Amino acid sequence: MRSYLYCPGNNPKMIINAGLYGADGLVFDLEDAVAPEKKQEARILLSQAFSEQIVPVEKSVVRINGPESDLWEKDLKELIPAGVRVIRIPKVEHPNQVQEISGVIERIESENAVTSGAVVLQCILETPLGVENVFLIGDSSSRICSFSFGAEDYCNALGIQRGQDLLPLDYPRSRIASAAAAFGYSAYDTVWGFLDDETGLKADSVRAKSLGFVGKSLIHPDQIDIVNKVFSPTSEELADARSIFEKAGLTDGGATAVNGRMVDRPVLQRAEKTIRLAEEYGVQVSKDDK
Amino acid sequence: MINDAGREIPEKIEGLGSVRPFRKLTLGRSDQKRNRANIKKPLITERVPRISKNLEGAISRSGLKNRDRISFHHHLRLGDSVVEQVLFLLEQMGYRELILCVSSVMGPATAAVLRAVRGGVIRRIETTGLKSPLSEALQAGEIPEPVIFRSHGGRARAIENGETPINLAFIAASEIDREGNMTGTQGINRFGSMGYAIVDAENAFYVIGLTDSITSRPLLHISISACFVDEVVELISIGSKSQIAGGSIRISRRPVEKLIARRAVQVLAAAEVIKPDFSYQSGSGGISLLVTALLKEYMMKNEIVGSFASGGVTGNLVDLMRDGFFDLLWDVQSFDDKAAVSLGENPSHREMSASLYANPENPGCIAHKLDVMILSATEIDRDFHVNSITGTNGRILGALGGAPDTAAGAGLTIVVLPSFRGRIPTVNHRVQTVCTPGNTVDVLVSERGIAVNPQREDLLRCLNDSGLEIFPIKELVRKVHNLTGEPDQPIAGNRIRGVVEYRDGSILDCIRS
Amino acid sequence: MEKSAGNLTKQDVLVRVSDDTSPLHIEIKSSVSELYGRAHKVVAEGEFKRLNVSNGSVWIEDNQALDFVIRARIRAAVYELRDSGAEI
Repeated sequence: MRSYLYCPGNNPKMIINAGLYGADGLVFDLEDAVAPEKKQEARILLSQAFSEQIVPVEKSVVRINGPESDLWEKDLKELIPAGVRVIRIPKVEHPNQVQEISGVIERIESENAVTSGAVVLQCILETPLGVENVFLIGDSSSRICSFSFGAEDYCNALGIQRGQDLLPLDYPRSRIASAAAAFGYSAYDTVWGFLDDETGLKADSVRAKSLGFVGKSLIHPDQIDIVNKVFSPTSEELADARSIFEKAGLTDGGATAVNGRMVDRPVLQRAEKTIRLAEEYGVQVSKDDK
Repeated sequence: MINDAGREIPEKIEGLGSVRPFRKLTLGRSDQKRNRANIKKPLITERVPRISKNLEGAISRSGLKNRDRISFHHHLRLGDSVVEQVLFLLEQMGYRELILCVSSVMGPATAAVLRAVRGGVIRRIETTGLKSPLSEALQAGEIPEPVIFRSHGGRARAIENGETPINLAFIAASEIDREGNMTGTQGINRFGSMGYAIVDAENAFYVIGLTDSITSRPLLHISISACFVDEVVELISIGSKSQIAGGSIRISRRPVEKLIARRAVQVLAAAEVIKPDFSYQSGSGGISLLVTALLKEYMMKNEIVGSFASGGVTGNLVDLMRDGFFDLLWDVQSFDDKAAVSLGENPSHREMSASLYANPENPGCIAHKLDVMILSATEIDRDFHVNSITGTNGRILGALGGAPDTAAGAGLTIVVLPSFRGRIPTVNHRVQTVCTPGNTVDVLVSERGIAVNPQREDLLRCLNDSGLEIFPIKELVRKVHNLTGEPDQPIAGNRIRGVVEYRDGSILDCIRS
Repeated sequence: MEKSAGNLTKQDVLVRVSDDTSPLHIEIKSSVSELYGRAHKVVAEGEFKRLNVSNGSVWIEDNQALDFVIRARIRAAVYELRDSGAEI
């Protein structure tokens, strides 16, 4: 998934339209987007939207309330029977939070005749403690499939500004991407809140990609095109990958030279991945790349 | 009998006489040469238009009698005070049972017309559209004779043909000179093009020009020449400046509308109609304006210059012309002050009468030269019939405008609309009222899918090849109704309250309650 | 006791339920009652039946909400009542 579009969980109009804009994934939010007194009605609204397939279930995720709230268990009890299979947990800081949630999910799965392990987790690391504990968290449950970075709370905690200067976020981003890679999870980058600043959005996305993130969360449909483009292979990358793949295929394994570059197994694997992603995202080689 | 749009049309309609049902024809000019109204003007020794402040005297001199036809234009839009003033005076003077032939009714004119109807001054309305509270009065049967809805081209045709002879045309202009030449491009209450009024001026038996600004200087731009004006009356005010000018139309930022507009431009690109010297018109709805804005980006990227853009002209369109995207603008109605000023100053910004714009019998008909038309609608159905007058519950909330004319004339007609508004689906099995017949509509673009009229195999091939996902219209209807639920049909009435006349004078549909 | 869920914004619905002992009575107000009044009744009655609610007074003010929203708001209002100890 290159793009995850957030949608407030208590807004029928936005829920109905969320899937139209071409984001690879959708995150329906029960946490920060919903006022405290509306948490129950939002939970039920999303539940109904999933069970009646108003939303595209296969690419939809729900962000439940945080581990320190007393709401997440009710969220799960309502949403899993309704068909939600990917849960995004905000403000994850300790591995035992994930273990506890995983255990509750296990119970709900068995009580509702859902295949054990069908529900998977995305963990948001958005505090310094969460970022520091990311390796322990990654090891805490086999349900985890990805990490997400949340810059707003992180910057608040550090007392730094979220904005044009991307350098201060290199550390948490690298740490999260590295942990994700260590466990074979995907890493998704934080939202960009400056809606009128498209240049900033692009720069932020490019930086995240260069540090190992495969996609980014978004707060507005207008951001989708830019982000999808950044996180898709470019047509030059595709042409390059293809030529590596073809030429390497002619040897008997082991290292070989292609276009002045040493190509060994990792490089070949990367080329395969690029070709696969390009196919999935509809990237094509343009005439100038040959 | 059933007409070619599948609608039940009686052979005779009370109050109108016998009528001709709509028949699908291949498009072409009628064989009849344009038949100018053969109205004999009275022989007057003193032909120079009189300028006075006495409207009552002017009306008396016009020879207007009860049951005659009067006309107004609606170029003053929401700021018009002329219709109100005139109708009030006619009522005082004792006139009864007149036919009101207007280009449209909106704003303050609506209440004035309703009052005149209730007072017995008006027995029939001929218009492109009308609004509340007149629409409720229509449904309630308060208007003695059925309302005739015509498109801009249809109205022009009927007037020029002599089918609807105008006995007295009241034409408001923002400035009139001492000879009686009229303009809408200068004066405090300037409003731009007088396109709808030109037809009236050229064909009415008697023309009274109305203004609040008489000038002794020569007009920079003449919309209506003095040779058509019988007399001029100076009023204290013709309207409210701020309401006339309107706000500048903001381009929508709503994600669903942007999505539809983007898709529409993708269709244009795939159909390969955006090429050098192409011609373009879009409606004034939010999505249509967005399409124009995105089209501009496409044209900029591909360095394409169009021949002309037409229609109701906004400041945005003027910028497009000034920035070199189109060589020429054809203006039948100016929507804001920027357009009004531009018409007066810019030779590449031209005024067109409703006849030149859309009369099917006019040899120069601009609508017939269009390559692309972007339309909005209240609803569309499986036959691609478009409704722009009634809501899905039958209430009147819109107008025909020039849609039937441009749809017929344009090489590619695209309807853009959201597939439901609130909960009400806009893509339906059968529209409440046929306003633009489906055989003239080519593509539907909504946020839930694109549908192509099966009669356009060429388009289907192009669009399929381009990778755009095309749905059969029936499937789109099903998809939308699955989400909204099947709406119940509103209770059909059996009294005919209005007829929708196609641009050739035949009857497309009836409005009943 | 009366609890409500939802609100009056476009494509939403405001459902108010009170747990009085009278047999279930549902009042629906909507700008699209001509087209969807029948559907509203069916959906509302169906959802209350599914929730095993047979008494109480219900006011539904609809602003063109789709069926799933109506069902969700009804359920939310009933749950709120039950959470507060109402017998419904």
